[in-house]
Amino acid sequence: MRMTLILAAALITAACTTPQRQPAEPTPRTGEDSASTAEPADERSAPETADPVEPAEDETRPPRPDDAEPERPAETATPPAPSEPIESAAETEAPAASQPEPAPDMKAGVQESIESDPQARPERNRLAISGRLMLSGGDAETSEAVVYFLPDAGAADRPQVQAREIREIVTRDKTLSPTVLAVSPGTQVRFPNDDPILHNLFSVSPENGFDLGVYGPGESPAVEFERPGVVNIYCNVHHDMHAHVLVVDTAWHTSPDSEGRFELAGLPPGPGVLHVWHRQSERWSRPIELPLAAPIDVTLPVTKPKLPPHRDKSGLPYNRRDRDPYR
Amino acid sequence: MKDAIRSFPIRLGLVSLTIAMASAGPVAADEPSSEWEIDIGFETRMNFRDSDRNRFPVNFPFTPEMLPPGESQGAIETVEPGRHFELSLVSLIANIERGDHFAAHTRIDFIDRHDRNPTSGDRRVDIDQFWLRWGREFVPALPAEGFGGYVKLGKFAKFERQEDRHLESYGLVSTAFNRFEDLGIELGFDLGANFYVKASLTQGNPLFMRDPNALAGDNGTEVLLRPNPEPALNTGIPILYDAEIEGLDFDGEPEFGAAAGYRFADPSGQRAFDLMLFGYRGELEETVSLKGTFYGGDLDLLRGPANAFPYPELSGNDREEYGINARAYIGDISLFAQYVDQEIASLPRSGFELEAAWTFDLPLVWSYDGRQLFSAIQPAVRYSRLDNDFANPEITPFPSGAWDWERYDIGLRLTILPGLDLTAEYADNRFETAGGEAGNDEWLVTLRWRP
Repeated sequence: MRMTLILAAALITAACTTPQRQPAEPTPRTGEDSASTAEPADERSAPETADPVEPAEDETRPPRPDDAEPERPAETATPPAPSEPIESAAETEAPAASQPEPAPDMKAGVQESIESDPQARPERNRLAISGRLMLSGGDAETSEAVVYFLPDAGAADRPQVQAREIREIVTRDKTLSPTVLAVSPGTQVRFPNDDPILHNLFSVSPENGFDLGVYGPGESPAVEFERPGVVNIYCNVHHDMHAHVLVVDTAWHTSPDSEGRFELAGLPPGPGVLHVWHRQSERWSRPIELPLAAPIDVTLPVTKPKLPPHRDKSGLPYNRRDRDPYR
Repeated sequence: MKDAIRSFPIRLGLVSLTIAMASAGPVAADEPSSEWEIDIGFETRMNFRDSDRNRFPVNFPFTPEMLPPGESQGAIETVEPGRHFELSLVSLIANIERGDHFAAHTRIDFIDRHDRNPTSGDRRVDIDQFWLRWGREFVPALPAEGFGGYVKLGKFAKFERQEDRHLESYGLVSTAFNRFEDLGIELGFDLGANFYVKASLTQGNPLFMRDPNALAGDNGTEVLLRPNPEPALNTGIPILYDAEIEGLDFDGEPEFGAAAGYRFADPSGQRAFDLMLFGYRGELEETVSLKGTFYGGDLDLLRGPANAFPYPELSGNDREEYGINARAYIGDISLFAQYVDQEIASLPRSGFELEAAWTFDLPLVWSYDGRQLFSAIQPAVRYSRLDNDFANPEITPFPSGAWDWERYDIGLRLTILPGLDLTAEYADNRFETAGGEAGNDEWLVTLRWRP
């Protein structure tokens, strides 16, 4: 039965897709694919929760037992009304109702697309969101942002979320790469050490805390991120090393390119919340109703340093003053 | 009695360890931080030293047989001029900790050429530090988590001492006032995250003299009792300083110390600040017998040979010291400043010291055994001065004790591997003699290994 549906979807896709349209996938990953070593798609599983849970992480202390059940931030639990300004971000999205209906090939920000992925639901037309992220007031890269869409809870077209995917954050020259990685819950992230020296990656994230211990060249320990949230990762040996994994409970996430352009494709029609997360800014969230009439431009002020303030895995400063306290 | 004195730290340790085991044992065995941790290691230092040759005649009427062959006038002079390679330190270090409940620390020096106190005739094996601590103690500029405190018992550093040192040499203030450990009990309380107070009751360090450069100098050593002695090491250009204690002293009055401070740090601890006011009050003894010298310490030293050549303003036996020190950490920059005002038997003097150091991480090019070779380089500069606001006796064998000093230190530390570093530094001493400004400079290169 499943194979029949997949074949039917492929036939419909071939009949409906025009040459101008980008092949739509449920999980476009601009700038991330080089790090992906995804397992076969038939291991994907349905999401467990409808709401995102991404509480801020206290990076200056080790995890505690009572961190197991973090509070959900009000930002995502109760998204603001569309007409309200959201934080300090500027956006130029026009209300869909006030826009004239453009011709299909002129809809730069809203593209209809048809699922070509056999895992997606083949029987429905899909939508896309495109736009541009701009960062103001600081030294930051747009490619380190994550744009993701969460359809409203109970949406009939809730997508399947990839699971058991395997990704990599490589250590080389005392630097973690990529610096930002968005994954779905259940994704395993490997941390291969391509340096000739020892490292000790850890996170005190309440949802996904871990400590890889000291490991040497050529080793590749892994962590499976089960719960949505921000995972700030540091090295206990080298203070300046950092990376950030954003675990989002949706398959629709992407990172903008270096010019800030992004596109999420294969989206279902209907209400949901669009989020833009950047490690150097506050999260931007906005309820939207698909399809949209125009591209979304988002401007985020850079309010945080490139290297987040943090302590070592024991909760102590990295400063040299406590290296040898007895002499 | 001497055996009893020398065995005191051992007996103290055994008793305290027993108390510690008994008191720390029942405490919350299921707490993660209550596990015993033992760390035993060693530290060794090798040096290349290049000392200027300087000699300052003194007016003390030494008899001809008290002077080296061919000399007709006594002098204070550079301890060991010229270029020398030396193994300056071999120490055993042991730490036993049980979370915030208990810690024991000892450092035993088998060779400590630069801290040999007060002369090269000091004992070879020295218990440099030995203390037991119940409770938690925070490193400087690290706010506490709520209320807490500690009790420390044994031979420990004074609470204002700069522990995170960036040069191997010491500034004038560090040498004069708080370089050496004292013996007694210390209490510390965290009044919330930022405020803290400390108090101590110790026997007090004896007052003696030493050169502020690497080697202390030999004054009053046994070889000087021989006719026309030819000591291997010279006197140095010494200053008055608080020397190392000799053991438990039942006779003297105890010294009281107190401190109050404020500390602040951002959440990461990378920007931190600590300001502490401190003071000590005690009494000088008539004399203190120090191993390695026939000169007596405290008032005996201030009264000159045969107690016949005292400082003119010498009066009473009170010793008071007040000071302030500040530490700041701004990312990879470290700052330390200290001001001390002291009065010893009515002889006033003060000192100021300021040190700045930067750490620059180096790119990963080479490695050894999983560790980066040459991972960081750290330049450091230090200015220190000592103002002696009292006059010398008309006749004295030790005129430098009242000279005003300035000292500039500049150095560079290269981290070769974690625990292995190389420090090259230059000390520019400037002091006011009766004949004008003079100096006694020194290059010091130190290879330090602490695996």
